[in-house]
Amino acid sequence: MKKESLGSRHLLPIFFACCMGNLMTSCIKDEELNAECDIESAYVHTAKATDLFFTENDTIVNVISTSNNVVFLVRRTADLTALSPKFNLTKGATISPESGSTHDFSHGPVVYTVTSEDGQWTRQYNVQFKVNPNLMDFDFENYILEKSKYVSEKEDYGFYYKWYEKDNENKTVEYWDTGNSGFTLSNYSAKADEYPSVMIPDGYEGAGVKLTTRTTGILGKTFGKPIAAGNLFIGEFDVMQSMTNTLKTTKFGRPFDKKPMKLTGYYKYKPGEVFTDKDFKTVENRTDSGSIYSVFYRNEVKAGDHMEKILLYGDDVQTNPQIVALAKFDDLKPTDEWTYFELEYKYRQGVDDEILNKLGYNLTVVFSSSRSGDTFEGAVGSTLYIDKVRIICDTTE
Amino acid sequence: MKKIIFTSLLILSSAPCWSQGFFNDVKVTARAGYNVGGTQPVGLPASIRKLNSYHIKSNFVIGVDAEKPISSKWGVMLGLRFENKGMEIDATVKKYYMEIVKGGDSMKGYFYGDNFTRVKQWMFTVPVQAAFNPSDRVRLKFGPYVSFLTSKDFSGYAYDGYLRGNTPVGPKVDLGHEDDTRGNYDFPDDMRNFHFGLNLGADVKVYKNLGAFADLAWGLNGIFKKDFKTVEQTLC
Repeated sequence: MKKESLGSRHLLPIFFACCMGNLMTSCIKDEELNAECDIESAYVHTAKATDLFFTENDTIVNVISTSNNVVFLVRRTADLTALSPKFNLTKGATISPESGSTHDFSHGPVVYTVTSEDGQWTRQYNVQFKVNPNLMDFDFENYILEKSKYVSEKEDYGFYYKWYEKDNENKTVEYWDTGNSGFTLSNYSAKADEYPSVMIPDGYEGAGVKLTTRTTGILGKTFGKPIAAGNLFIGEFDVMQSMTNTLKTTKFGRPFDKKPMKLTGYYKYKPGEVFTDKDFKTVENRTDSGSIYSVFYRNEVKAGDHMEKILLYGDDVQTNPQIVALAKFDDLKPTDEWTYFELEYKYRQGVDDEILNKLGYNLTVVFSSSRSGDTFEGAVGSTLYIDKVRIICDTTE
Repeated sequence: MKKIIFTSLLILSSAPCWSQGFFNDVKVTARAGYNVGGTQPVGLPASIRKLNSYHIKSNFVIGVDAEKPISSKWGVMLGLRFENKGMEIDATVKKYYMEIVKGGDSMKGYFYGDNFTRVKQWMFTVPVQAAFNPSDRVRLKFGPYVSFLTSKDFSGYAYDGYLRGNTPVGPKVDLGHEDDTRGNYDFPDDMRNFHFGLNLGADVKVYKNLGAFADLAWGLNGIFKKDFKTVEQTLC
């Protein structure tokens, strides 16, 4: 802004100064108190961490912004009657009961409430210490319609299917996840049955899962993500990077303390008619294909003098050198009938039993209605049905 | 918050004309200037934490005014201007309510990060002002104005931060730096076609019929229609 005035008398500079001053500087108000109230991470400091946990790494849990559960994985022998977890919260937030206070976790989760610095917002978290469930049989009979946190509670839309499992004590366990929560971002008002990952009442036995490649509409296209393949995987979907780095949204795998040998289940598959690329342009002579695979990997790497936990993501789940064994359906043929599949885990390296017992390996199973859906290539309408999935392990043979 | 401050300054050429009747003492002033203010709320919302950059775009104003004296020092002025008000602003925001709308689908929430906004408006403005002439060389003016927009653009993007869905504590979604990872918005249709407000200014004669002027315009309605909630303030 040039401050020059032709024939400047007193008034001009004064006006100029007043206006600019008013415009530019006096406008920034005092910062409001923070409205955020998240547990960003939780940790337990105890004299003998290894009495409670398998490794030091298990003493810290990072919590994603969509989750209201903080789950520590502990040894079967762990004494849970007097534990004092501590929490890292968003700036200015407070927690009740207090961070570091001692509670009995042996009867299940303890509920903590986080209140924002401005006192206007709260979030509740279930904090629990659990034995790893090591689930192997999946019938997909347990599901809920989850309400998207992106949609106002007043609205009657914004619901999508989410599956959960039961552990040996018949308690609810978060195990499988889907990209449904990300689909809401572009298709806000979609009905539950219009999402990519949907429950069907008539599966192979009881309820089953239907995965469909969907268009994400004009908004999705704007963000260069024109389609969403239906997916279902063992792990956690973190919506956080769904705009910036989609391949990082799929956090594949959960700890598994057995040696998987075979993956079996039932499927139906029908490719969509028009295959499109990431710009949603038609690709001639290309037929979509679904994908079914499972990856068993070492979940720690050496970082200096200690071991660091890792996860595999969309960009390395089939290529990471940490992979120990891979089971993969190479040629998934279209079929209208429920068809049995049996895939063998092909081992690339040996399995250390001691590490196995300390939950040093993760397992994921992945289903997708479009094989290249993670890079937004596929055919809208491609449909993969899944039911009665089993992981056959060394010890159960 | 629904206010505009605008300043214009530059050349004024004044030529008395007409010779008879009601108009024989009417003083006509043609002016060409440059708006150096910007569209801006009077008092930014607290969600704006820092202005990283602020650029005025080419904001020309041309116009003509006629003053009818009603006493030796006082007069009434009526004008017509054609002007352009535009600016680009880059701000760091916190808990900034926004909605990205495309084709009936929308993504809304509270954004924490950087925000870039571009505003451009072409309009005809009619000021009606009381004029006070303390001397031959100086004229002070005050009065209301109305503006009719002929073209408008309001667009921008939220970038390098995260959007929390629906509420300030909703799930986070990162927005990046590139065109397909940031949150672009474009809302010309939600802008008002009609502005009104108050003008305050001064004309100063410098040499013969040439002079300079400075005007301050204070908008009384926002640049957006009343029901528009897509970005937090009606001005940015």
